[in-house]
Amino acid sequence: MMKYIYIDDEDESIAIRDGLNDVKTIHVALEKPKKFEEQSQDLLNKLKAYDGIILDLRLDDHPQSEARYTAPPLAQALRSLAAINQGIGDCPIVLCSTDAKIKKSYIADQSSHDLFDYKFSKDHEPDFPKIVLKLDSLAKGYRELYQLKGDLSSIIRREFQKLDSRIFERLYNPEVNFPSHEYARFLIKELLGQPGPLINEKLLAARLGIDYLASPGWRSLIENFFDDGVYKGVFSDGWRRWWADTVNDKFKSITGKRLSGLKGPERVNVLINVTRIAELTPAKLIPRCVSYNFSTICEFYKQPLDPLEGFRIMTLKEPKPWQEPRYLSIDAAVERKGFTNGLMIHPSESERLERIKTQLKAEGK
Amino acid sequence: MENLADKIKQLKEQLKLEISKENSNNNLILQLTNEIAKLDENEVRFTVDAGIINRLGKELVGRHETAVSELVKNAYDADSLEVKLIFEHAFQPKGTLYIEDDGVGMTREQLIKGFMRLSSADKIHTPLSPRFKRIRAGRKGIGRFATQRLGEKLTIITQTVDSESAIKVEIDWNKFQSDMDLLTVSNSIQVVPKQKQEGTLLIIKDLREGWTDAMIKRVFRYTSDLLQPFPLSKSRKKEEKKRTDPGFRSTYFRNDDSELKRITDDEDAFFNHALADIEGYVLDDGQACWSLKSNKLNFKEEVFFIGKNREDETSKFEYIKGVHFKAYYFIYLSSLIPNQQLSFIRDVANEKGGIRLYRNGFRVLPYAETGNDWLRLDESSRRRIILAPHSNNNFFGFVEITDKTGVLYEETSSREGLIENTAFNELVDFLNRTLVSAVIKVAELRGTKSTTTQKDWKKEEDPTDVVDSAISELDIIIDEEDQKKTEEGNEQFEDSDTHERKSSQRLKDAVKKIKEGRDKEKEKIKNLLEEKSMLRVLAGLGLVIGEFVHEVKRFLPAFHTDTTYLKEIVKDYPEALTRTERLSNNLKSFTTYTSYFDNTISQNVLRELEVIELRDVVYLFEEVIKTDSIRSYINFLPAKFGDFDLFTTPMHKSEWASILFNLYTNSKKAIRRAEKKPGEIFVRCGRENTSVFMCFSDNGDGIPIENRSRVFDAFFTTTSAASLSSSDTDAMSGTGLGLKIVKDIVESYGGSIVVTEPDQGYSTTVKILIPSKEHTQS
Repeated sequence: MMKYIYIDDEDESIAIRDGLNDVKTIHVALEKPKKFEEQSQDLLNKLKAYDGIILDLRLDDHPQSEARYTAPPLAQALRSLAAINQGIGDCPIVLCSTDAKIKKSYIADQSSHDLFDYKFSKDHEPDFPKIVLKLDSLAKGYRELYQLKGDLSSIIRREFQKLDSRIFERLYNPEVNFPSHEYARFLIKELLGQPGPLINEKLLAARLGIDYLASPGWRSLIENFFDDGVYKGVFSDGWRRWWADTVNDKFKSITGKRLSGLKGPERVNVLINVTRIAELTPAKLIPRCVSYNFSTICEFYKQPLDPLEGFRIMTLKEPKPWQEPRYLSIDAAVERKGFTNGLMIHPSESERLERIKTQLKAEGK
Repeated sequence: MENLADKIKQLKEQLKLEISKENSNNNLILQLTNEIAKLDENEVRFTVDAGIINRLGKELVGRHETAVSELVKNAYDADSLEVKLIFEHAFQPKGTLYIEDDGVGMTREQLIKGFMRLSSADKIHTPLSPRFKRIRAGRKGIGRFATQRLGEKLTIITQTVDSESAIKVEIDWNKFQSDMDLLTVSNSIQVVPKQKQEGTLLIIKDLREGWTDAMIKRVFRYTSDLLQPFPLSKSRKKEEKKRTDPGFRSTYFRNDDSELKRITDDEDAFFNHALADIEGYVLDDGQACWSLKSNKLNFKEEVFFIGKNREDETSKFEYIKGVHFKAYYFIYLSSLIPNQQLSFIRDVANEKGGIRLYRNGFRVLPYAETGNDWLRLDESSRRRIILAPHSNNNFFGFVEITDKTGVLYEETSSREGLIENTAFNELVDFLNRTLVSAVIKVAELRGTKSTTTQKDWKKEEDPTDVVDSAISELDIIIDEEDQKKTEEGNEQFEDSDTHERKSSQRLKDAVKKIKEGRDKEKEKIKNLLEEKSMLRVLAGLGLVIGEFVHEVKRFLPAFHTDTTYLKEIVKDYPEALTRTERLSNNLKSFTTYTSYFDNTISQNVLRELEVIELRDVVYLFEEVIKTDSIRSYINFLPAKFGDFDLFTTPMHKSEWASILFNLYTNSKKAIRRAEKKPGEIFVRCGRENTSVFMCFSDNGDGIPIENRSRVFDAFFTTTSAASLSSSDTDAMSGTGLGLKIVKDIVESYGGSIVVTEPDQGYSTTVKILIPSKEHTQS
């Protein structure tokens, strides 16, 4: 069982610890923060017995606390020590806080974002099983990364030279021995966290034209026919992904047809015919959409979308050339759906959005 | 060499020929002599290029506004009483400016030796003006360049009191080109009939700049130091007509369609804005008095006595008999002086304010110069015993003393002011005390506390009491009149004066109306006060709830962790599991509420207003109300929006939370009363002319037409006591203020709220209109 040490002095931290421990997959020990110098040294010592660290963002918030610092400088100190010590003591560092505090002091400080492998909110009802799944995978993944010593093909369990060379250009440098957290950061933030070479289940279903939540046959389909494409590298137990290129290839090989040449419902029909899995439901159109050329999803409706009928959204980081942008369907965009939860049209699309609004008005829709 | 001699000879021949002509060309003569002189073998001379005029003009006179003010100063130096400036078609360049004064004018000789001679020594020789001995204000030799700076052509028409005709000179500045000798540029001079007794008229044509009103007013300001706002006393004027300076004024006009329009003058810019005129005399027997007049305070002139002895107003002054002073009193408040004039007057006052001293008709310096506090007004202001403003810059005024022999007031040996002897000190004391008394009187008229020790001063009486006592006064008067009438009526015939009776009846009716209105008014005020105190209670409650919500948030993770844990533990015990699930669900809606309110409150911390898309607030509300509406058997239908971009005028986001919650609470109650299951609520938004609107409909028991306009009144509730269920503890429900608050919010943004014809299928529709972003008044 992976063990985490959790530094927090807020009242609600006990409930967070219990919630994490109740899942019974990992063990979390709660400690109050110490003074900065003591704290980093103490953590280094304890890491022999622990596999990861959870930090509250504002360690300086509690009136009785001795600590007068926030999580990022502590995380930075730990990362630097790990780099100096050839990766000893490198482990997942996870950030947890309330939404309000994250909004107030974390989002704006983008330089600190890369310090944390994962973050979760204490607010509302934390999804403990999901959080624990990630924490467990992170801890195990760091161990693997330490052993694999930068062997990229082993890390992703695929010949990395066969992929777009731009993807690994920064990490493929025989001269430098990167610490584990550099690989971890790349995997989590760039490869697993962004659609691109790897896609998640929703996108997979969208590409196949399937409403997977309404399809009892979905599980059987992906396990029996698309299992080859599953990502099996480091962190794959926490992040379920498929290699996008293999999905297209696989579809071609089992149906004999090119995925992109078919409309959503046609893709489902073809699949039903060749796999004999009948319980697959074709995905319906999002309101105001007319195209079935699904290749992405709408971030509000979470349903398949033809990117031509969508608008790129603003993300904290612009996608890299080998990654895919995220989209909002026309309907969500013009009706401002999800805007109050932070979805925002990319500024480069605003002119097009205005044009489409005018057009819709003229058509009386 | 020979060549040179030949050339000189040739030129002399030419010159001889020209001179011998009956109408010889002077320009040619000048040119020839010049050239001869230039060929002089033994001597050399400076010559002047005609281009110097333009160069000097540019260098000496920077701004065109300064240029005009220089010309005004020249008129002052010429002992004018008034100068008129007329800007003709001058909004654009190429207009014409007329500057007409009634000064002493110029003779032909003065014109040629003075105006037409560069760097003339005239102003150095005579630093005082000829008639009124004014200290010359214009800078030496600038006038002609100023005219050149202003326009392309200049015409001067000038005449003196003794001359029989006027002379007119025309100058075209464009003729002064470089590479010509200045001497050889000639300008026409003519003798023309006299236009007036004396004075000079400058006509500047083809103005180089366009003139706005603001520029013209600026010129006035530059010349404000010439203002002697205060004509000295009239009797004296007669006596010493020739010698006493009666003052100088300038008036600025525009002429665009052959009608003169006044832009500004000293009355307009200044003295009309004085709060009060103060004037004082010491009579021949030594009794002093002063008078106060204020149009602004509606105070007709009144005379007060003041004595040498502070306690005895009839005690006589010894030395300063015959002294007279006049002062304009200004208080720099935008309620008293229009803003556009306020800063101008204050600026001028800071420099030129104070009481000037004139002795035998002549100004004595340094009194009332900047920084001089001879009447100790600034000092007294700083001590703050007298609170009403009374620094030097609050006054424009003068005092005149007559002292032919120079016995009473001796000039200091340096000729800078008077020796501070007994007479002088008495004068200072008189002026200081009179001004302060006047200032206190003005403060009293304005109803403010004027000295720190003023005991009987109390805060302005409650206007309610003032009106009430006036009403009872009227009652008494009517009573007395009635009584008198009855007594008289016994003696006289009753119909002797029907007209009088009629008007007395009308008076009675009017008073009765006032009384009735008064009662209603009082009732209304009482209600407003009740409402206000209720709002205060609610505001306080709101703060407490805000704090509570914030604190409660800390417990939410624990609720979740522990219910999840319980669910796991009891999963094999159906009864316990049901209970735990219920607990979990209830806590879930609790959590939703909490975070909505927490958001609302934290948005409220941002005081800035923002434009709000109705979708955003409606979506948020739909989300938060979801669990509550399901529990209340209410079908909260998805909202419909009739247009895109339904942005309101800038508002607080939290205000929409108040609006929607209030409407929702009301609908819920109406639905409960109607016993509708399920209830239905529907929100519809759109655009209407310059506004965006929201229609909030429910299928409750409806509002009778007669109550539709009243539901927004404070303390109005449609619910009869019996139908109010005991569980009804919704926010603000008991207070009857909910819709009133909504109305206040909406109206404060220029919007409106009405109960309108219900949408089809519903029984009540409340419609809110708010100005849209595009139609927000800046």
